[in-house]
Amino acid sequence: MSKDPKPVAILMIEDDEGHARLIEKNIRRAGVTNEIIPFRDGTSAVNYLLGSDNSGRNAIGRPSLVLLDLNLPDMTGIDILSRLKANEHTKSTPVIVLTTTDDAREIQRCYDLGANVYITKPLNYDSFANAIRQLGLFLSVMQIPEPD
Amino acid sequence: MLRSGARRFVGYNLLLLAGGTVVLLMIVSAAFVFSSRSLLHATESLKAARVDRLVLEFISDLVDAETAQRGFVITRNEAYLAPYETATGEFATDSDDLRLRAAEVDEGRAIPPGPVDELIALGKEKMKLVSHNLEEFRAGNLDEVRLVIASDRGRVLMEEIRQKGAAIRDTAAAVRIARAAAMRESASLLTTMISLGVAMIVVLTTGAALVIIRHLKEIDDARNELVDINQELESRVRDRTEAVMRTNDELQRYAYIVSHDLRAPLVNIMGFTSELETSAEQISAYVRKTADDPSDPERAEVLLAVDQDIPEALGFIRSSMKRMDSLINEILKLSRAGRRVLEPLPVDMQALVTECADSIRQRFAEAGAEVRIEGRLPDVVSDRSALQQIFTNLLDNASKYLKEGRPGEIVVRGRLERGMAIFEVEDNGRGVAESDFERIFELFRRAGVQDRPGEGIGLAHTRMLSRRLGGDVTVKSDGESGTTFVVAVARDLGLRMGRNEA
Repeated sequence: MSKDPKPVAILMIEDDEGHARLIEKNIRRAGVTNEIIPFRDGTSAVNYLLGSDNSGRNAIGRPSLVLLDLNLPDMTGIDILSRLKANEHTKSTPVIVLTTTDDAREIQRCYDLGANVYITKPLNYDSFANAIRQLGLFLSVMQIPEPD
Repeated sequence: MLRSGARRFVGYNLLLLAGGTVVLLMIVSAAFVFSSRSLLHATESLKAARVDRLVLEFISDLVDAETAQRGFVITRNEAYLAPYETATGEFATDSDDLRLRAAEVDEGRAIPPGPVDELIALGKEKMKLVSHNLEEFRAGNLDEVRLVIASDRGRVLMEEIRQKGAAIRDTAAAVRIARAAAMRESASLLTTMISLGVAMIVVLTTGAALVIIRHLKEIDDARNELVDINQELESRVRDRTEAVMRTNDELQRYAYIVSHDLRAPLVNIMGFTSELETSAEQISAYVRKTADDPSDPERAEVLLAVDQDIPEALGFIRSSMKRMDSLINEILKLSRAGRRVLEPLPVDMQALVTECADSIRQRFAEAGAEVRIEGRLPDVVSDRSALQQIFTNLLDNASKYLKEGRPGEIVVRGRLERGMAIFEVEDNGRGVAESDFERIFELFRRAGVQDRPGEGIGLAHTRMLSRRLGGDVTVKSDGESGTTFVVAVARDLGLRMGRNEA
């Protein structure tokens, strides 16, 4: 904490525009002002995270937090998660999995691959909004390590 | 029922066996006939031989008597008279014997009694002549004796006796020769017959062996064919099972994806409905504050819209979403249950059904119903939790749809039938109309008066589970006096699964 850490960017990988909008709204309502970078598909998110050379070096000095939806048009969230956690530069980047299913095996699989938090998007909007706001609180106190 | 091949085989073999038996019987009876004939020939031959011997003895008696008489005459020694006495005694018995025995040969047909009687008569005459000479000699009438001897009558008599004896002996010999020839013929016939019989038996045995070999080959061919058919059947069953499993997998995946992907738009609808509600409240508050002119004809309409129409619309959207969510959740639950890996283990069904009934005892008490297990339920090797689900669903259903004013009585019974365990859950409730027999097992479908809570999931779930356990569930009801659900599951699920995997 000696030097002023760079603000954490929130990388939101979510193909559903509505979900993205609701998530953003609730994050803002929670008072979180960090930059939110949205991705509508897996490929562009992976390119941003690991770079076009797949080395992950462009993540150095760029602290971020990933909000990951599991159902994406071009690849599964599980693929992205395992690639992030397999790369030495991005493996410490926190990943919060957001999905519609509460299937116990899928949840377990995400945790096994190194997901930090797993949030089910409930149909009950209040609890959804609540979960996102708590995530905002969590973000405001969380120390995100800078990749190196 | 025998196959036609087997029938033919048995037919052929019976035929061959009958043939063999006939041949053996023929050989045995021929042996009997020939041996009894041989015995007859031998007996007759012996009788002829005895006659021959008796003729010789008869003549020898006469010779002995004459020799003894001559010895006495020449030596005057009394000692010679003893053989004489013996010879005359034997002559008497031998004569009788000869007559008797000669009549026995071929029942008297071979040696006519005439010549024998003549011989005996001549013998007696000769004997009388010898005794006459002896008496004359003792009396001292030597001239008389000399006269008799000189008359040559004794020698002539003896000559005649020898000729007649020889004739009888020739006849007897002829009989013996004829009988011996007959015996030889008999024996050779028997030999021929036995050889023929043996040959026939060899032929029959060979035939039987050929039939057996052919039959064995047929059996072998049939077995090979059966093996082929079995293999084909097995591969077909395997293909079919794989296809069914693929279909099942696809369905499960489909259900999973549908429920999963249906949720995403719902999240939006719910989310933005809430956003809309918030905005509507803001608008409502603002309208109330700003539109304060009661004479404005638009004010009443706007207020109606913000106070009633918008909240009502949002309320319907919300309740429909909730309903849709719960349906999706049920599909998801069903899809998960369908994907769960079954664990076949020995299950004490009596204990399991008792446990299921206990778990919803409260509901039975409220409904005033009783559950009874009739007899002893058969044990199975199956998935415990699936069975629990099935019986809890059925018992729960039975307690839910009782007839008003009739104390509920639920009976569970079970039996084994061709590798399946079949259980019945019978109630005396309101029953199910026949037109609903299939419908009640469909997802989200219910039948009868809709006065009980429920999603129409339980029986669909029960059907899916019982099918996964290698069986099915069906319903029987007359539509008024009660309902019987019949659940069939594989008695040994492990065996069935093992076979499908193989």
